[in-house]
Amino acid sequence: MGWAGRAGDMPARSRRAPRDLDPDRRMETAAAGWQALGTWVHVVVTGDGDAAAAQRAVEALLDAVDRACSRFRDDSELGALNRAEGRWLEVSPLLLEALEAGLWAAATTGGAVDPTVGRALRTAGYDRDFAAVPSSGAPTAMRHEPVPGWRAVELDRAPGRARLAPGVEVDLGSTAKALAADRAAPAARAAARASGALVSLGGDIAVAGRPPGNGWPVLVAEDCSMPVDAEGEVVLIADGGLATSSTRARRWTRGGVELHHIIDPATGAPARGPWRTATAAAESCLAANAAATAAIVMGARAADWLEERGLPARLVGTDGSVVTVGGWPEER
Amino acid sequence: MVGTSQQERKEQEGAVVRRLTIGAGAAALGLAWYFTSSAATAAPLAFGAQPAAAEPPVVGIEQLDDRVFVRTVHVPAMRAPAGGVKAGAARPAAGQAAGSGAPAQPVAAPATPAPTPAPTPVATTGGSAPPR
Repeated sequence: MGWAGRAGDMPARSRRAPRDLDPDRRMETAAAGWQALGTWVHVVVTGDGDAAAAQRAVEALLDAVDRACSRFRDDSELGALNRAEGRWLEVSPLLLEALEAGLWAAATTGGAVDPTVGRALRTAGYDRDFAAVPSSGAPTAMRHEPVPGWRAVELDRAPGRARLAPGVEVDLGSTAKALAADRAAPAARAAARASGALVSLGGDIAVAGRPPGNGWPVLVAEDCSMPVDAEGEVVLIADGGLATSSTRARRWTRGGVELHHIIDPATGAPARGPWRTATAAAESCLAANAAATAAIVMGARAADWLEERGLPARLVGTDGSVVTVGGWPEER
Repeated sequence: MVGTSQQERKEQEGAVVRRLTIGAGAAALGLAWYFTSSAATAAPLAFGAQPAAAEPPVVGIEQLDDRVFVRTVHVPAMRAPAGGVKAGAARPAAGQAAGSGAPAQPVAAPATPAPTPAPTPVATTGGSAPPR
C-alpha cells in the first residue's frame, strides 16, 4: 500500500450515508470519506453521531500512523529503521505496536504474512507511493528467493527500540493499515459521541460499539473503490473486522510481466496461487487482514487453514469461482 | 523475561535449541514429542510476537533437568468475530415487486413474509485500491 497520501487532501465525499439511493433501505448513519495512507478512508457513525468530529479524530490517528509506518516517506520512523543497517533504533510506541502487529500476523500465519517483504516489493518496482509507481516499465532485477523472515526483526519493549538484521527491509503496508482501522473505529465512535462507528481503510473494516440494526451492511467486492450500491454480495457484521486482500488491486508490469503487491515470503515474488481475492472476518481487522492475505499466499491449502480456525471467509478463484468457508453465510 | 537482557535470553534459547537438536539427549529423555508440539504452537517472545489485541502471549518455562529447559510462548490464535458474519437480506428480484404484471393468484394460507429489503451497504470491502 502507499502511504504518501494525507488525510484531508480530498473533500469529504459525503456527509450523510447514502440516504438518497433508496428511501426504503436507508439507514440512519452519517459518513465522511477522504484519502489517506494512499487509499480511500470511509468513516460511518450511527445516526446520533457527529461524522465531522469522527473524521478529525481518524485524520489525526492516520497522520501519526503515516509518520511512523510509511515505507516511502524519508522522515518516517520505519524509513529510518530500514536504513539503520543492523543498529538498534529507538522507536515510538506506535511503531513498536505496528511492528508487534506485523510479527504477530507472521507468527499466527506460519510466516505466510511476513513484514520483511520490503526489499522484495522495492525490487519488484513498488518503491514509492503506489499512485506514483509507473504502471509499466523495463524488466526489473528481482531475486526469487525467500525473504529474510520475521525472525530477523528484534524488538526490545522496555526501552522501546527495534533492530533489523542488516539488509532487511520491513513493509507494514497491510498490517499497519488494519491495525490503524482497529484503533480508528473506537476513536471515531468516541469523538462522534455515537453509539457505533465503522472505519474502512482501503476496504479493511473495523467496527466499534453498537451497530445499526442487525449489523453494519458491507458490500463484498474485489476493489474497495466499488460504490456501495453496486451489485454484489452484502454481509452484516456487528463486531470485529472484515478485510479483503486481492491480487487485482495494485498491479503493474515490468518487462511485460504482470506483478502485484502480495508477496509470497517463500519465493520473494508476487503470490501465484488459485485465489485472486480473499475476504475474511475476525475478532479484529488486523486478524481479518492477516487471514485474508495469508489465504492468497497459502493458495490451495488456504480453505482448510481458515476452516480449522473457524474464520468466516470468501475466496474468489482466478476463474471467478467463489468458495466460502468457516461459516461465511450463503448468499441470499 | 524480566531482568534478563535480550542477548542473554537469546544465548539461553540458543543453548536450549542446541541441546534439544543434538538429538541424543532429547531422544533419550523422550522430548522429541514435546519439542515438536511446542514448536508448532509457540513463537519466540524475544522477537516480539504479540497480538495487537488485549490478550497477551502466555509464556511458559519448564525445567526438565539441571541443564535443559523448554520455554514456550503461546500466541493467541485468530478468532472469528463474536457475532459472526450474517447474510444481508435479499435484494428485491425483478418480477417480485408489486405491480409486476403477473396475474393475481388465490392465496389459501398466509405466505412466508416477504424478505426484508437489504439495507444499502455503508461501506465496501475489497482490495486496497489506490486513488488514481
